[in-house]
Amino acid sequence: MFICLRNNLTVFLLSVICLTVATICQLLIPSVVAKSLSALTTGSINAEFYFTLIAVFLTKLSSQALGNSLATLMEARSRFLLINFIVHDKRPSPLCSRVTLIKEDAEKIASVIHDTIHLIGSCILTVPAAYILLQENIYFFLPIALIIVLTCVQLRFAKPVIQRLYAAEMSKEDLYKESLISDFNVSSDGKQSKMQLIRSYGYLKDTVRARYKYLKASAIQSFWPEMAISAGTVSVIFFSAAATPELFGERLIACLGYIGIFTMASTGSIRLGITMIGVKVSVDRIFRGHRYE
Amino acid sequence: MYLYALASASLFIIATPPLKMTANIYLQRTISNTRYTLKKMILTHLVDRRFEQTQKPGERIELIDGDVDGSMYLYHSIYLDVSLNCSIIIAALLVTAHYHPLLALAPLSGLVYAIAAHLITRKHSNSLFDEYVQENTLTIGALCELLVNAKPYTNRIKVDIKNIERLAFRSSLKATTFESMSGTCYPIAILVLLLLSAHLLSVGEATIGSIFASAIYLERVLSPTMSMISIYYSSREASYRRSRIRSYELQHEGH
Repeated sequence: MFICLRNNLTVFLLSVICLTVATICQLLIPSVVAKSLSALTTGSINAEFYFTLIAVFLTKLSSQALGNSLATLMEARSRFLLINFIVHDKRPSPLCSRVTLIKEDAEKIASVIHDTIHLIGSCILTVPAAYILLQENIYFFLPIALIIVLTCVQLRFAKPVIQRLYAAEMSKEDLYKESLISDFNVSSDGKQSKMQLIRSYGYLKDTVRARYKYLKASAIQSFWPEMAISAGTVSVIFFSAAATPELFGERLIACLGYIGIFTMASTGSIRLGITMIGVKVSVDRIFRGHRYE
Repeated sequence: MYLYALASASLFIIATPPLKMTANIYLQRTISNTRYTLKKMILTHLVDRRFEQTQKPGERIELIDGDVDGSMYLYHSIYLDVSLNCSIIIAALLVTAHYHPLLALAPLSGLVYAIAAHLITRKHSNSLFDEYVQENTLTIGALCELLVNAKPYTNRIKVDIKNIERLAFRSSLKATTFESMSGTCYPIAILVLLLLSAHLLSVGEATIGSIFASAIYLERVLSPTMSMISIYYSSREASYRRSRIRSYELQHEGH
């Protein structure tokens, strides 16, 4: 995947910058609205507040639109970069396997790159959010540390299961694609083509079942870190309420906002992390130890 | 009272991951059944000699796998997302109206504006990804032909790939621009909220607390509204792929 990033570094950086600007603006909006309402209650409101809001909002919308489109361009370019390698790879490989690499593996890797760009855009704010949480209340340290440690341990244990199921899905895809190619090449209209078609239905069923098993395992593996995040959030709320009553009020609302940012980014990271573990199999299938120049 | 609210919020936070996982697994199982049925139907259609087939093998693979996998979101998951967003909108509107019925006008004005902007741009967005999907199918077909004949890229293929990349960027930019037009509902709703708040504070019918709360609920109404509009524009490619699948069903019904 680094090859795709290296070859499209400008597009990658531009899209990440645009999406980060959009996220910063998104975070600024509640603060501008709160200031406007405070000014309204004190009678000192003027048009400047509203113009600031419009400026922030338009910046957010335009940077989001550009960032999204650049991420899509990056996805398309990465896909064709990988396809270029697959088509021109001199090493012997069955036709059905190459078709699967083009149709499934390359598309999945490109899709992960697209999702990574979006996640980086929002994750850049996770670190400051975690830092603010720690500054607000040291009780946040324990759940944040626990969530990070548990997630790392969970991903380590999940890796072999996910990779085995993903590899099983891809090997079924190979067989299914081979049967499809045979279907389209059978010239006769008789018994042979019917038998071939029935065989293809069987391979199709196996492929669909293998994908379901992989997706089910991914959902189960991402459940435990998400549960840890929820438990951490609840424990923080209760600790804050019991141990630091001064935080239990107006400031807690602000803290909960930061917890929300941290939770969303962490959940997204875990899901993408699990997808990346699977997609690593696709990267190995395409390059097979070859060093890309 | 505060303890009850805190306990319910905690219960909700704890219950969300298991509920999400159960829904996800159930959806995946349903999606698997639909995926198998649709791919089987298209495969049967594409090898049926009664229908004239002019596509290359690679194009047919793209029509079976690309179209079904690419449009699967529209068959099941979209219903869950839309119903969840609608529930949040209704709940937030009711809570805002509970503070003061007039305060509900602010999120409602944003909602109406977003829907109006969406309806105006909807017509132009119907065929956003059609050309991209068509070109992509043809190029995948041509690439598979190169694999069969063990030949390198031709100049034509290189031009086609550049064209697809350009189409991907252009279609996405158009879709996000249309989405942004509906997105401008937020400043409109805030302006209405500020005007209403000024009026209600002057006549003494609302407190500062209720106005701050309605500002928070305004976000709760507009965020799922934008999420639904985003679902519409981000599923344009899926929508075109689904229309291709439906055309096979219609051809079969015609016979």
